[in-house]
Amino acid sequence: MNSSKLLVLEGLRKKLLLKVLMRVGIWMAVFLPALGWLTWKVIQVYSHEFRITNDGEILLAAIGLLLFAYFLAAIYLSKKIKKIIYKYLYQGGYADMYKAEILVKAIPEMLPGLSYNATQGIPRDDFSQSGFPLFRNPDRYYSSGELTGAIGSTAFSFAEVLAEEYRQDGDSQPTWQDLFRGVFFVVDLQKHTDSNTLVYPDGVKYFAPLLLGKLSQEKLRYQRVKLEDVAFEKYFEVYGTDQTETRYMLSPALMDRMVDFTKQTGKKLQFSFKGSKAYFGIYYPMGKMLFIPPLFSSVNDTRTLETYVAQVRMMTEIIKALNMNAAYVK
Amino acid sequence: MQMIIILAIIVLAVAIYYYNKLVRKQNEVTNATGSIDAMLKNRYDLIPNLVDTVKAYMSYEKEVLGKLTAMRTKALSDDVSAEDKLKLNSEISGALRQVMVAVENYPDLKSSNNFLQLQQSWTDIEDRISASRRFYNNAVTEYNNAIQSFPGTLFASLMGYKPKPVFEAAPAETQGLSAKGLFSHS
Repeated sequence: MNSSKLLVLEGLRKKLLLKVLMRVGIWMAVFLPALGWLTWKVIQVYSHEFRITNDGEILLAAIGLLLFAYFLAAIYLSKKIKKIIYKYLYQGGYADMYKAEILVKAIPEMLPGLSYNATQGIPRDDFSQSGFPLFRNPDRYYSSGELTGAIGSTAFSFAEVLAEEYRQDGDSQPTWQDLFRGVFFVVDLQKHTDSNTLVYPDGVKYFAPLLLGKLSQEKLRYQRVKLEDVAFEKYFEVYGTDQTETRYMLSPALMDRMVDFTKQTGKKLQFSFKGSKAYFGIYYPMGKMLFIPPLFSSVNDTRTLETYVAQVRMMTEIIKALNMNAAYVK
Repeated sequence: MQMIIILAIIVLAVAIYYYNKLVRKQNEVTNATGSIDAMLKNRYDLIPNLVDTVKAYMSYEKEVLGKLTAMRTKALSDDVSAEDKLKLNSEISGALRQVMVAVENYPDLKSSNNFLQLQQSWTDIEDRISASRRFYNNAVTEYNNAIQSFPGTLFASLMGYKPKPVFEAAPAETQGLSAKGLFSHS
């Protein structure tokens, strides 16, 4: 990349940083006086009470109330700041240019065999037909930053995906709820199954019947498959339409790799095997996207890229296991 | 009197629960056995095709091929005990593996489309057999746990349920199960 483009990009980053700091500053300017006013009022009211009653518990109550208010304010403010940063870094001129100029060129070099397309994503049809009952009809769907490649004879593509559902309960304000937020993979397998196998993070069992209850027909098709791997069962729970086919798709080596990934990253993983494809999603909660360009350090600083590449490498380990799982002789 | 009725209802409810539970576990084992049989049947179906394809090329392995065909015929007949069948399947698996290894000496055969397809089917069948055995072992373990722990053990003896053996693959068989391991570096 030539230095003039780098200069332009660095200029954009500085401009954006200023914009973000200003937005955060405005929020702080509203919040801090409000908190100060609240503190002053609480002190006024409670000290008056204390003077009358001389009861020490009143002071404790005042401190408790203030701490609670500060706690709520801190949570709200950090969410707001994350949202502001996320908004500017995920889309807009700077993010687009960084992806087009840096990622497109750096990824094939740092991750041989992979190519990056900033504007392409996982097609909506692939996502909705992935076999996960709840992903069938997202009301809103975005995907971009697709990486494609092949390991052995296993071709794959993955990208960041946000799928949302429009929810309105009674007279309440309608909201957009996340169905999935994270990185979604579509992997072409060399083996085929007529059944559907779903692997959820452990803990879903407590509400899976409710989730599947929305689609009662679906619920009947799936049965809980208990696998013999104790470590795997600790992190995941499996539902399948056929016990043998589920075990055919989930080889012991693949299960090991899935456990390793979860242990190393702490991320939640969910898998679906359907037809000749494996689909899997890695959850990245709001504000923790797989990739956002650097904001507080220079565009020449490669740390952001290195973190991203390290994460992608770990993800491709799972694809390696899928490839081994279905490594036929060619 | 009331106490006796309540107690009787509780005992009956527990009995029904355990009876159903044991029947469910037993059915699961039957399903798993059926699944293994279905997968083994696929393996038997593959043998005639494989023998037809390789016999024209293989001059030194006629004996193994003949043995394979004979073992298949025996395994498909009804007058073989379950124990013999198990042994037979282990031998079929070993013989198939032997044939697949011998193919390495016949480059023309190794690269023929027909053989490649058969090899792919074989790998797939071995993977599915392995999966159905894992299903079987899991079902049997759950069944054995249910009939050997209290109070399941009381109901099991009344119902005549006995512990079942889990499937233990012979060393040669275990290698045969990872069929793709044979060729993945070729």
